[in-house]
Amino acid sequence: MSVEYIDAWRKDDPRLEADARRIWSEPGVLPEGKGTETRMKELALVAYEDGQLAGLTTLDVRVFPYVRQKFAFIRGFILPAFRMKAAGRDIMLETHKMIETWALKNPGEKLAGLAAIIQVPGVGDHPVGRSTGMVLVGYTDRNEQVRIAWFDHFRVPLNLPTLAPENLTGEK
Amino acid sequence: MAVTFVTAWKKNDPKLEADVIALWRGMNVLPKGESTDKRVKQIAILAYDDDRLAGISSLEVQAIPQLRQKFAFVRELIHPDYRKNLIARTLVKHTREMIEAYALAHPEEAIAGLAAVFQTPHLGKRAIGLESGMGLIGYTDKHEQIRAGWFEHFMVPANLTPPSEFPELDIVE
Repeated sequence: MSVEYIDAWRKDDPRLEADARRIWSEPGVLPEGKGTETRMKELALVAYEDGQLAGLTTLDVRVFPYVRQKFAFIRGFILPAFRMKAAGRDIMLETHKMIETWALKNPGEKLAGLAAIIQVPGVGDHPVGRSTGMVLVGYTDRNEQVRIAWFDHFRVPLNLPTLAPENLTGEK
Repeated sequence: MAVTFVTAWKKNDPKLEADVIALWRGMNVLPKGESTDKRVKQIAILAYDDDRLAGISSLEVQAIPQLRQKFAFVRELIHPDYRKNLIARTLVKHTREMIEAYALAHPEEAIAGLAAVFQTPHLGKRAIGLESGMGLIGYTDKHEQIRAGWFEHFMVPANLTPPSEFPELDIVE
């Protein structure tokens, strides 16, 4: 078994986008009201196992108000045939590496780290992810865990007094 | 200079407490209205240069509503003669090791980790402290960084206390 991860982040690659559409066209994959084209702009990584489409991740960049910095919120989808092989964890780790490298090369974007909202019940009893290193830093209104991992290279600006959370943009 | 670190947490040791109160008075650092007797029960690790007290760490256990768990908030005081000697870093490292072992031995106290409020403006460029392992999780109303580091053994309970049942974070300067 060989798994290949293709970087799709801001590439506008027609082949990768076509494969992403195949996944998102499955019933129940995208939340109601969420358009494929909106999500396409967030496409991060596409995974192929032995040449077959296996899954993808997306990244939604927005300010995390608690820490007043921009994070890339990751979502992943693995096709049923490829689940139960740690595929979800592996694609997340690969996405982490990819976006951290991208952030380092694009300091103007001021991306501070990777974030995730844990929507799977029963996941997240360790406050620091064993394999992902993602740290529990809060909860959503629906009691879902919010986890973040700061990028090693990121330095917190110390001149934040005027940057109150209510003044931040990009918050959803 | 050979600095030794002495555990004072929950020891109620009159000699250690007297040393601490003498340093607080000498540096005039106890906030007005704050009870010395109460604060001295929070001392955690003391750094001695021979017989001279060079630094103090103290701990106050408080809930962080955002994390829905109790954390031990660390404060440090270093005598001005020792501020260039990296004692503060070593002191926080020893404090973390001590309170983590204490929390593991006292699961009924449900202390989830170590936390701090950075009141020194130049601190906190690294999002995760190298010695303390504490990461930035938020800011106080005064724009001071709030940092927290989870203990390795701590597991998030399945039934969480709602945030409304936690008191507001009470930051003591």
